[in-house]
Amino acid sequence: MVILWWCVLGFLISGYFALAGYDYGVGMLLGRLSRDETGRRRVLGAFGPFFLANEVWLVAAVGVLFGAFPHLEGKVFSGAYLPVVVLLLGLVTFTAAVQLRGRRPDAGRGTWTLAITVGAWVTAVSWGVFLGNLVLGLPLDAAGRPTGGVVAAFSPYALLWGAGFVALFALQGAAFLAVRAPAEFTARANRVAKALLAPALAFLVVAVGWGAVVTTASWTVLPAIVLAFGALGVATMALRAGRHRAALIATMTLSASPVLAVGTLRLPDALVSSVDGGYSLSLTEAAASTEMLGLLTFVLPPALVVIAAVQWVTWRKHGDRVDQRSLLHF
Amino acid sequence: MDALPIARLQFATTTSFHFLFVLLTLGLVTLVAVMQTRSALGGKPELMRMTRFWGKLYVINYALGIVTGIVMEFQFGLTWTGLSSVAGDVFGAPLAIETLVAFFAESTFLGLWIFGWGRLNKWVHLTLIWLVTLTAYASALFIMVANSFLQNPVGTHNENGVLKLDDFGALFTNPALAMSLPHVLSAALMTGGFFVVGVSAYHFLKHTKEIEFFRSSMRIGVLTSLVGTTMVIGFGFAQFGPLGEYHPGKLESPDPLIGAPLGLMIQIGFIAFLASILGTLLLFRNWITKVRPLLYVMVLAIPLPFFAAISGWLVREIGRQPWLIRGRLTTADAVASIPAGQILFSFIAFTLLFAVLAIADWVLMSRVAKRGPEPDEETAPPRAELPVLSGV
Repeated sequence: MVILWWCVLGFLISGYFALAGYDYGVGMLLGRLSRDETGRRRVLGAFGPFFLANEVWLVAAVGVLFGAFPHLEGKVFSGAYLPVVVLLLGLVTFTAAVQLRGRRPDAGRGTWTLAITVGAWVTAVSWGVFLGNLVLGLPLDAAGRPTGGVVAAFSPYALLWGAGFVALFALQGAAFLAVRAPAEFTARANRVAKALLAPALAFLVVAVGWGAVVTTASWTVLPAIVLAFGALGVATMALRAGRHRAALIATMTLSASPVLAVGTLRLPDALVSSVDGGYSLSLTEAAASTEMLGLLTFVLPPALVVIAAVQWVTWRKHGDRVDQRSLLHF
Repeated sequence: MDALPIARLQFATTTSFHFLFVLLTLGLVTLVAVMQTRSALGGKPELMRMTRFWGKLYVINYALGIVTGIVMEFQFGLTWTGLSSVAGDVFGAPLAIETLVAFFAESTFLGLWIFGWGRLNKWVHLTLIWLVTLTAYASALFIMVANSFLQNPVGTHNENGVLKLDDFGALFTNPALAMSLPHVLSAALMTGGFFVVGVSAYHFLKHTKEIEFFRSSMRIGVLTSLVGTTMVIGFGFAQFGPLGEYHPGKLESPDPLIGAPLGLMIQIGFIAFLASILGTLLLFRNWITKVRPLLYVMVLAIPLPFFAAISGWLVREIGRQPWLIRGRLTTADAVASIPAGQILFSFIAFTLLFAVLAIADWVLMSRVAKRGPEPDEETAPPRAELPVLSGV
């Protein structure tokens, strides 16, 4: 039962990275790919119909984290307080700016555009730093209290992850625009995506190599690492062949695989401390009681299936390129 | 420097901002759904344009509801870590259900509704707005279930300092929930009603040419206010009985942050109720749109329900102190051992960001509200800006 819920949680978080990742990627590339207001509206229009649905995967994931793994939820955010706060500041800025930017047809939008770009960068870097910290283990004492100072969370290894996620999300955003943006953007998006392949590969290699030196891992992480390299390989081939849908799916998988790596890194432990003799929390200890998990099993997975199906319909309805007839809400 | 007061202030500020936006979201979406239903059932052509205009304002307001909600959800794990270690097994469930069954679904359906304008079958499109409305109400239900548990931890027993759930159903029959949930929902209706009336009144003051449009809006707004204020007062006073049982003496607290807001809320409630009755009477022959002094009052009254709602929330939450879960866990024990400096940083950063975004959002809403509805699509001149349709 605990394993099942760990999988549900993993599904939601990796779903969030696979979907919202391209929102942030598009946000980071907004200024680069579009030169005028018409172009910017079309670029934002590319993720328009999916935006609200994508962002709330995070809300659902954190809800399930609280419901099914309350003891983990209490440690994992407070243990990385500052990165999470900075993440939220970026996320709030980005999400609000995207929704409010286009609401007045007669107003200047420069500040909102800047807020979208900055918010997307901060969000991408912070997700990387946060996950990098989880790979290292959080600075928690034996009782699970956070001990790190202000800079503890911003170690070089965590910053590497921050930079890595900029590359992963931007790559994903470019692949997405190659599929969904109007045809005049395709060639440019393809070029940007190809240019990001090398940084993404460098991140994967260094993160795995350096990680193997500075921290311990269980063999269970191997599938996630193989998946990441495989997805990057497929993305490379698909971008060269101009098969953008395949490239998009591969880059979505690529962005989700670090989440799977963090989730499988130390099984059966859910969380460890970076401090010697510090706190550790096994999956079973982190989980809610069996009765509560049983109760949640009745309610949540069926709802998840229904909502995922509705989102699938959204995808089907808006699978084509943005064109003259498209509804540009953002 | 003590971390506890800053952490409390941070959560209170975030929640206040959240409440200001979700309150109008809940009320306004109901009105939009009613307008769209009447339109689908073959009402006047104005009804479709009304749905679009008020829907546009609803969507602007919705944006900040989401982002403040996300920050609130994270703060449970950032600063109130004692809550999950003591009551995670109980409190987590309604929260998890809320996020997945309600919030997640609400945004998914809203996205489909926004991008379904003119694309979807009208009955499918109508169903979507009702699904958005229902999931919004479900959100309120589960959040109030969770909050009522903090006020009155029913259905659980204490096992070595950890709360274990005995009876999930008891969370839903909690006396702290039964009257407060409809109280909050009717407060939302009142807020939505006042908003629609106030904006319509503004356009009559400006001698709008859209007389039929704002007359119908005004009518729906006034009737919603009447229903909302009647129920909000009824369910407000109905809470005194159960409150005296599960938390005697709560309202007699010497804390000025309880007595004053309680008085303010009750006064606003009665004034709003009388105003709604007067408004309903003046609907006769549309006198309501012709008495200019009253129109000014209606515009100025838009913020009143918000003040009342924040007051009510202060009474409920501050009245619980020093407990986080009443009788089981104090806020002092629940706060995470984060250095006070870091919490101060996040408090200032969140507050500034929310303040800037809230002001930008309200300015945007007032501009869009003042502009009034778009002309009919058939009669509209070709758009200069973009060769595309614009959404809600």
